[in-house]
Amino acid sequence: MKNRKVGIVSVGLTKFMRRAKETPKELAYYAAKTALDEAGITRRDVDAAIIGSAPDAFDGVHQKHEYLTDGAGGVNLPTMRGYVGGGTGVFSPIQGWYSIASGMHDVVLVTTEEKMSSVLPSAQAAFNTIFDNMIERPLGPNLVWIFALEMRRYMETYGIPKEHIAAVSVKNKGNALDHPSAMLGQKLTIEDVLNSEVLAEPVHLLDISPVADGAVSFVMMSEEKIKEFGISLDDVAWVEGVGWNVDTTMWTNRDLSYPKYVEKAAKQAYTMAGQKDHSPETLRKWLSFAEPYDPFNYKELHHLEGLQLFEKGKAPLAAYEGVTARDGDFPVTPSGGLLGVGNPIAAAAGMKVAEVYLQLTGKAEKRQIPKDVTRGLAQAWGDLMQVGTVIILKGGRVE
Amino acid sequence: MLPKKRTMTDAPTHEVRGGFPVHYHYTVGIVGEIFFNGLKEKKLLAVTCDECSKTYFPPRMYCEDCFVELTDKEFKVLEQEGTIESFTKTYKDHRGDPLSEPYYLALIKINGADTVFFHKLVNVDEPKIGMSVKPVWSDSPKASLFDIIGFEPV
Ligand SMILES: [Zn+2]
Repeated sequence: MKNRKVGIVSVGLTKFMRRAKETPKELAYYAAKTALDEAGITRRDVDAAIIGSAPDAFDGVHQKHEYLTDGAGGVNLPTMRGYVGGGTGVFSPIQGWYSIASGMHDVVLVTTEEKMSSVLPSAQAAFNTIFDNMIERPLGPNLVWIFALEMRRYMETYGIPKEHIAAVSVKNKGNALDHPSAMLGQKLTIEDVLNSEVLAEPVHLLDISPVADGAVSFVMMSEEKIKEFGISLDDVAWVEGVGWNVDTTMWTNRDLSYPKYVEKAAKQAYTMAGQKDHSPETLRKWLSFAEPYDPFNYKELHHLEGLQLFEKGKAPLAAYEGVTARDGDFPVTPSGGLLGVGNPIAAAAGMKVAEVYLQLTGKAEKRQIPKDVTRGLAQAWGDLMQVGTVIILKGGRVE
Repeated sequence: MLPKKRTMTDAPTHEVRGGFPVHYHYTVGIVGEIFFNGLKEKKLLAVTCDECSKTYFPPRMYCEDCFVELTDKEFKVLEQEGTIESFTKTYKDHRGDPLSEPYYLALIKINGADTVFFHKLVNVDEPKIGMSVKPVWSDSPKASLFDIIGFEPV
C-alpha cells in the first residue's frame, strides 16, 4: 500500500518565556488557535488532534494529555499523545504524518507544549527520577552531569578544542535575536562562552539552553484536503521522510562520542525520502539546511555527525569556520535553536520543525536563509540520551 | 503461560527508598486570575461563548468546542445559588486513612451556568440531587478556592 502525500500547511508559536502567566492548556490554545487561523480553517475541520509533551513532572499534572486535550483542540476527537522525552516535538508531527499517510485522517492538529516553570526547586530535580533507582539515583545524577560526561568523551575522542564547540552557542544565540519567540537572543563572543560560570566541567552556563514555557502547533493535511481547501502550494511543506530510533536505557554502555540511534533514525528518513546516498557531501547538497537538536552546544555537532551531515569529529571545525552560519555553505539552526530561542522541551523541538516549514515557505522573515531552500531536516533527541527523531520536509512546489 | 523459571516473589528482601523530589507553583492562568479575584470579592464570575451560548463557570479562556477566545468578553456575575447534580459522603482521605469527620462532596450547577462546579457541602444532614444550595463564604477571602467554605441548603 502506498502512503498518501502529507503536508504541513501552517504553524503557530507562542513566545517562549521563563515563566508564562498562562496555564499549560492556555499556552496550548494560543499555539493551536494560531495554527488554525493561519491555515484558514476552524476546529470543525479537524479530524484528529495530537498532543506532544515531555515528562508530566514539569507541568506537574499527571497524565498531561488528558489535561491538555481541550487546549489542544482535541475534545471529542480521536486525540492521542505520543511521548519520547525530548524527542517528542519531532515525533508529534511524525504521528501527524502517519495518521494522514495511512488514510486514517485528513486534517490533523498537532500541538507540542511544555510549562517547565511550575516545577520546584528545578527541572533537574524532576530529571533525577529518570535514572535507575538502584544503581544511579542514589548518586543524585542530573542531566548536566551526564552531558558533561558525554561532552568530555566526545572532545577526547576527536581532539576537539572547546573553542570550536563554543562557536555553536555564539551562532545560535545570535540567530535567536531574529526570532520573535526567542527568550535568549544574545550577541556573544567565544570568550564569553568559555568564561561563563562552570556547572560541571566541561559544561559552562553558556553551553546550555534555558528551560522555558511555550507551545507550538501545526496543521497537517492530506494532499486531497489541501486541494479541497484551495491552499496555495506556496504555503505547504511536504513531509518527505521520517525516522525514529531508541537505544538501550543503559546510557553508560553507549558509545558516548557518537549517537548511533540518530544515525539509524536519519537513514530511515533519508531512505524513505528516496535518498540512498548517505555521504555527507551528497546530503549537504540534497538538503538546503538543518535544524538538529541543540539543548547543549556540543549536541548540535554530535547530532550533525549522527545525521551523516559531517564526518565523525568534523562538525566542530565547520561550526568554528562559519560553514553552518545562516549565510554559510550549509546553514544549521537558523532559528536560534534551543540555545537561543529557549528549551520548553517538546515545544522546543516543535519550534525546530516549524522553522523548517517557515524557511521552506519563505516566511522566516529576518531569519530567512539568503539562498534558495528546497528541503530541510529537523531532528530531536531525548529520553535518557537514547532516542533520535527525524523529519525531512520539502517545499510545496519541489518535485 | 508463566515464565518457566519461577523467580517471581511477593517478598522483596532489599529495597531502595526514593521519591519524586519536586513540588510546584502553578500559575492560575489568564482566566484564573479573573476567577480567583472574583472569589476574593465573593463573586461567582462566568463567561459565555457567543457561538454556542454555553456559559462556563468557572470561566475559561476559550470555548473548548468552538475554539474561540472568551477573555475579551464581559464576565458576568452569577447569582449565588445552584442545584446539586450529584454528591457523595467520604469516609477516608486520599491516603486511605479514616476521616475524623466524614463530609459531603458535590457537583453543583450554579444557576445560569452550563458547566458544573465541584465543592464541599456544609451544614447539611441529608443532601438530595436537585436540592438548591448557596455558597458559604470565608470571613477573610484571599482569592482561593476555599474562599468558599462549602455550599449549604438554601
Ligand atoms: Zn462555544
